[in-house]
Amino acid sequence: MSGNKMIRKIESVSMRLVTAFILSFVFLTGTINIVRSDELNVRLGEDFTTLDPAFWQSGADLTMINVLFPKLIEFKSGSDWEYELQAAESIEQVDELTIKFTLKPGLMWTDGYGEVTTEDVKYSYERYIDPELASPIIGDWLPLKEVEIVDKYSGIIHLKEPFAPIWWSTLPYSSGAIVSKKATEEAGGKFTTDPGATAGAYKIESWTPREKTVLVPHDGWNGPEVGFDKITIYPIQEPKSAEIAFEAGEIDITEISIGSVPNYRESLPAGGVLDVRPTADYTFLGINIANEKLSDVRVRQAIKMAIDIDAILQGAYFGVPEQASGLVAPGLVGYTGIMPGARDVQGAKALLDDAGVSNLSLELDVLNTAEFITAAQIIQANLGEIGINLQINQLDSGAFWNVAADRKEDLQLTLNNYTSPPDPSWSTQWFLRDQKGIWNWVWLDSEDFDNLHFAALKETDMNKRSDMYVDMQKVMDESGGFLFIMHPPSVIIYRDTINPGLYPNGGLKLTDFKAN
Amino acid sequence: MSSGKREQVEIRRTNRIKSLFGKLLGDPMGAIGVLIVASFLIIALFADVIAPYEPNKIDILNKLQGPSLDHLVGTDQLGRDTLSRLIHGTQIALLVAAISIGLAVLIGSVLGAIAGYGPTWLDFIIMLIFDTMRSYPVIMFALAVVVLFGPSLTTIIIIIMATSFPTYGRLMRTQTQTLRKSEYILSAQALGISTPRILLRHILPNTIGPILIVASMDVPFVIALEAGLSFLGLGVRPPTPSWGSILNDGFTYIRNSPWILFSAGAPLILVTIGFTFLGEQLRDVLDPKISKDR
Amino acid sequence: MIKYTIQRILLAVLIIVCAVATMFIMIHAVPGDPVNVMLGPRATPEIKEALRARLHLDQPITTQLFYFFRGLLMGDFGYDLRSNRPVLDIILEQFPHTLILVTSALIVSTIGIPVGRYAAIHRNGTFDRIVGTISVSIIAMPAIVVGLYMLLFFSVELRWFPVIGAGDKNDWLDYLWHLTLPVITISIAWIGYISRIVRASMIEVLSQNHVRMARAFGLPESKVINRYALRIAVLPSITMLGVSVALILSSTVIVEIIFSRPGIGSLLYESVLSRNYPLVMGAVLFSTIFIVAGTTIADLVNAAIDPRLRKEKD
Repeated sequence: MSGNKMIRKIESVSMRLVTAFILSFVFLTGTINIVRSDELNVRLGEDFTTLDPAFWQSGADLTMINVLFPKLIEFKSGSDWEYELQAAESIEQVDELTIKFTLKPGLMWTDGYGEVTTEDVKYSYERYIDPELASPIIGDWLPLKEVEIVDKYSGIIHLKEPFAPIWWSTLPYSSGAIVSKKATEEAGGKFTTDPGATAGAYKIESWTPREKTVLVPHDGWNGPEVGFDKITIYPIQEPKSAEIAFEAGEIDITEISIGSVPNYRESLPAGGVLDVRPTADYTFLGINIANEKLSDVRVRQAIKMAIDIDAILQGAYFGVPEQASGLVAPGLVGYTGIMPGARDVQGAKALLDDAGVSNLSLELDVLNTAEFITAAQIIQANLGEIGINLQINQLDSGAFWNVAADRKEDLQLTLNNYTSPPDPSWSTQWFLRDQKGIWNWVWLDSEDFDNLHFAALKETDMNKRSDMYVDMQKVMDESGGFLFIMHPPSVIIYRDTINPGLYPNGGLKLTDFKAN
Repeated sequence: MSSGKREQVEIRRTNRIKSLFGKLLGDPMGAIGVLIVASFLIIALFADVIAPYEPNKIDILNKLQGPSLDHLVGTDQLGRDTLSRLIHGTQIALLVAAISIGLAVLIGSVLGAIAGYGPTWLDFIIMLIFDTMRSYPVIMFALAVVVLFGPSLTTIIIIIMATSFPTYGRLMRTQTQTLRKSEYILSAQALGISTPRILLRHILPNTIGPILIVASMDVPFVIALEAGLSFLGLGVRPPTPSWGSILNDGFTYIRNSPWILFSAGAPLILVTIGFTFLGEQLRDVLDPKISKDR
Repeated sequence: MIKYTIQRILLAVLIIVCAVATMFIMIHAVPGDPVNVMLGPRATPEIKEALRARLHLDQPITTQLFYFFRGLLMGDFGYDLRSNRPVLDIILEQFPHTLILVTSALIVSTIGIPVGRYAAIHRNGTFDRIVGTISVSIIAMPAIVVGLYMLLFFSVELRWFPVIGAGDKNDWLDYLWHLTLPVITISIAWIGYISRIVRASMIEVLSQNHVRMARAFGLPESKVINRYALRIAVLPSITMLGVSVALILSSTVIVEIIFSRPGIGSLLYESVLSRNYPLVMGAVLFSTIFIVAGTTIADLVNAAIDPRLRKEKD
């Protein structure tokens, strides 16, 4: 080809391309917003990476595990944390150490792996306590002795010691998921993105990593009829992009940022439904007791007194959530309802004077997301008023979650959000003494706290258990290491053509999604 | 050199600068460039006076306000005046550009001169360093360095310096190679003038023009890189106002308050146009033959 | 020429090795434990220790580097720390999206050629002046501002274009539709740049002797321009683009993030943030190869046209 022809070619190709762009745009603006009613488009914050219930990490993993694998019991969708039978026909706690269950017959694995049997249940639960498997969430099944097989459909779970959370954060949560013994053993005892066989309401038809996952109904499912012929899941990290995509009709349901709530409350896009619901998660300012500059409890109390929580709730969270009373969210075992005193700048100054501290410079480590950075800047301004000079270290998620391991006792203030299922034991375990520097970033060091935590795990009387968690929150408050800000609500927007199945904390229970 | 001669040289130099400015301002493009760049310099220098509000003053009650007489381009999610933050952001933008390009020119010139004047093996090693640095997409390199050192003004300056010194290095090397064979330098060598002296007194002055042109064209890239990193939350520490972090706020509230995003992009565009016009015109005035290295 | 080509390719390999090794050492000095990434927050210290040993993370950095290059030579790029899938698979899934984005942007940039040609022919006319000013203005326009403005105006306000993803690969119209804004974002600066270069070199070529001769022989003006002048004038901008692959890839990172597109750029961003070292190295390796290939080819093309350049190197 001569240079001349080549150039002509380039010119004509580029002109054709431009025409194609214009044409495609003209065509497609006419064809958007056509969403078939038997198809559902869902946005998750990221792509799944691990479908193995013993190794899951992200919320996307959890959502996928919940729809792909059956559990004996599963949380109901709705506003209260209650469980319902799923794979089990019956389940019953015989005594503190024994739970009897019977499976519904006829639940099949995909890909010809046969029926779901007691054998699979035994394998799924006992593999956690196998040290060879090295599951990081071994704690969910630590008190398990064995699963006894009675027959093909019934079995008995034997525990070594009483274990109250089994009905809250084990059986109906990720660790209650049943995997196929045969398929998992073929995969070498664990798997990541290819489970071999699943038996949930839907199965994966195709997966294009980082682009989309397509789910279709699983014909071996023996539960209630499913709502959609096809569910497409799009991983979109940026909540703002997801909102725009929702408004453009590209997705039917998405979690959105709290900052968008006031706007949506004022004017919802046509056919949109806004759903704001509380979660058990907790956002708090951690003040490291072990740090030299913060070792005096008066300094810690002064910091707590100086911070204007209301301004944070208004500025960073648009007044959507209420202030938290402590670690435990309203409606859960151990909720105290006792709010800390109001902001007191003079009192805070007096405490600092009393402690003989002046010209204090501190660092606040914070995740670099919009809400946290906004909250951090309010804290910075608040502490400035009592003469504390605060430097904000905004960190990406990789650095932030390792900051305690890296800096140890040098860590000073952290603004943190921990997620939590509806049982306080999951949350109190992070502040035990052996968690110092791992998840206990406040270096809380209390024997009482540890004892109460382990006693509460075994306590099956709900009232006594509740009192124990109230006492533990008292210990946290007196340490001066925690300033609880709020329990971040989960905010979801969806199209009124669908009836979403949502867990009480706003998590997607795809199994229960129905078309309206 | 006698004092009389030195004065003559001084006068010649002032005249040269005067005529340079004359030529720059004579062309409309150059005049616009000079005007924009000068305006931004003035804004940066007198930000405290010009800005209507204190850039970090939080006023939650007035958050996310639209444009009004009180707040010409509205307020952000903390009720801070966006215009004041943009004005103060000019300081960061120009400071980062000045320091990092300054350092890049310095390091690049030294290495480039050594490469151009030194032995072949040293030339090879230095060129390898240049080529290695140029084989990363800048943002990618920046991401790695930011997670390594943690986000701060210093980190950004290090990144920009590290990614742009090869450009100046290559320029200096080419100039040095061309000049070292010139009769002028050969005779200086014959006179026994030391190498550093030759480089400093004879080669360096001849490369200032081309370097100035490239540096001027480089400023928009540098400012955009700083904005990009701050946009990704990997830039200067809050509450320091930076154009990139304001862009990020704007992106976060793109639906509620599109004017934040809109107004944060404007200074970036203006500064880009200003420095590019200036660079183009400088090229026409100083050296019509120089090729762009970008 | 053969000798020069071999030299140039060897140098390219050396540059890639240096670049990858530097990046490897740098990211392995980064605070942030990949073991935490793999196992999540609830892992016991013993489990973490065992994994660290399996990944050679307990070894000195030089040993780790040795294992890395040995793996590369055997075609083993490592495994994604989270999903445990081969890095090569993931890169090969993502790379086409970036490649299509970059090549489309390059193709669209060639709009600059006719623009520059027209401006050169009608030198100092109104069109030339307007185009001249516009093209200089957009040369350095930051992709981040262009991209965000595009998103704001065309996706959020006007809702003309989609906001997420790359579209359906099997539906080329849908794919193109998703590609439009990102491509414009990247190519806008290059349209300006190419039109400038083409204009400048056209003006230079048109004043050269053989062009004047052709005119004197009475060849039609359009033939003179297309056959002689443009051909020569376009080459600098083509080689220019080869050298500029690094800059284009840099803007794809930003563009892929803004438009939530899959691709090497967004993959790299996510994996740097999650300290997913093997994925970061995979993405670095691929982008570096891409860039070095671009510059090397541009150099070779230049050398083929202009023999003086070869001599200088020999």
